Amino acid sequence: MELDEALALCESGMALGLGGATMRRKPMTLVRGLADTDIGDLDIWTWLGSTDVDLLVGAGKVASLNTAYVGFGAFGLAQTSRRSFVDGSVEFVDWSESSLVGAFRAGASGLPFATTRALLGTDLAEGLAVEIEVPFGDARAMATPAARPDVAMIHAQSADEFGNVRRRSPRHNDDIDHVIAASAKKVIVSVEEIDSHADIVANRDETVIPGHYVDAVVHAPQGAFPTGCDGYYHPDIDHFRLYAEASGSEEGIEGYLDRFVRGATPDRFRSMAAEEAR
Amino acid sequence: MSEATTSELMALALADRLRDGEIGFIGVGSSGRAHELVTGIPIMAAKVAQHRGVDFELQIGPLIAPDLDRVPSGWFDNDIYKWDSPALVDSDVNMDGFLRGEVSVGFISGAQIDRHGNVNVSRIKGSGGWKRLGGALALPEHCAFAGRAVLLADLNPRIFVEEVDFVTGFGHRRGDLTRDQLGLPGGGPALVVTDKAVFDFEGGEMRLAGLYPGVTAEEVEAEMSFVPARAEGLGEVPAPSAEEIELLRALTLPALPY
Repeated sequence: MELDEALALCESGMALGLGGATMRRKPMTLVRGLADTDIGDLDIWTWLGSTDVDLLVGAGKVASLNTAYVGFGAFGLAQTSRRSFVDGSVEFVDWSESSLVGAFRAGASGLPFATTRALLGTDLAEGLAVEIEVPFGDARAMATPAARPDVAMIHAQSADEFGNVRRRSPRHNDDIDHVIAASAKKVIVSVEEIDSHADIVANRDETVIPGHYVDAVVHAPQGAFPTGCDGYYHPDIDHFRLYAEASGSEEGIEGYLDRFVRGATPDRFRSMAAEEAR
Repeated sequence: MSEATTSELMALALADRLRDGEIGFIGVGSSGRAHELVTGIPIMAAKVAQHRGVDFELQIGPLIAPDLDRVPSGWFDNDIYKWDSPALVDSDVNMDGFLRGEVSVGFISGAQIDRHGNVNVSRIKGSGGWKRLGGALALPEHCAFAGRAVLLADLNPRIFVEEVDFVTGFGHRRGDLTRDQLGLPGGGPALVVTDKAVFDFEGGEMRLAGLYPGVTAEEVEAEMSFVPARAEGLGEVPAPSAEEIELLRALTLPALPY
């Protein structure tokens, strides 16, 4: 499916789940495409965010953000997001890693809320979690909302045209893409490679997200760039440096969006980014 | 053999406190000194403990029990997952283990750490209002569920504060609220390893427990915004042997790629 057709599943005001974790397998071709539409006012849900979240914030697309982290690891803090926190333009809902996993799982199970003990006594609980009466035993626990994204965007190594997503070795499993996909009402997957259906059938034990969960498949080589994709490419150090520098100011991020996002097709983006890295 | 560096002293002080049958959890993805504190030093300490015959295993994110004799060539994921290990679990499964109490020791740091072991990595109150840091990650889980949490940080009055601005991870006490009242299953912060001294917790409060060779208690207190209690018979931690320094230096950890 073409990128535009897949993005037609999105609309303003929706809850958007983003897969990957920090510097790995972020659905960046999809995110850049979305950032270049009129769609906005998004409620973002991602386990551990980085340039995916920061870029959408910079493009003015984000109303609220649910995450356990947004930053660039070794490249520092996410400055666009930090500015939006200070000026109040984005509502931040800070989770811990396990409580957010729990929220996605509750969504995936059709449950109205999740339970957690990780937030007890912390300031993260304020506005997020409420203590509940535990009907069995005497442990204390809190309830949080379930995560139920209207659309989830996932970048994967490969899938067939029906959206059967394959987990290829070597793969670093430090993410919850399979849970995020299951929690969402609609799922858009971008992939490095399209597998034949016969190949998927012959290797069905490697299918991690079944095709009937998936509404759109976009062939997007380098689709996680500048984050990495296990077995394909590392995070792009040069581009992360460039982004970290640009996102240090309003003007900088505007300039970045003008150059790399607005009007940039995936192919054009890759050639520009490669040019920039030289 | 030159004298031990600060990080080597920290690793050896930590190694002394790792026990048989324990699993220690470290995260990845930080940079510079933070990376050394929460990743490099615990790996070095685990290596020393294993060399001493202690049955101590590490877990690095979802990578369980990597072979510390065969460290990877780099810190990108694509390098780390080449690290020989018997298991690489999904993150949701990994979190389950944490919540269930599978993690014996959690290695963490903080932008602020207070007298009662509460830790802040979320946001700092400045003169112009709140400033955001990266986010909680699994810090609340380390504090709530690990058998014990080990804090690693360089002494600094802005880090070691009387009371944190924001509680990301619950220590031992906050006002009148205690771990027991909350029913937190883990042990909470048990040890603080710094660049000048080691602290433990007594009655839920941080206590100066050992000084590195040549450091005085007054020098330590000058780098803190509160004055901790001192352990009875407070003295220097033993100077490391030449053999252990050599072992640490033979463990060539990969450099960060950036």
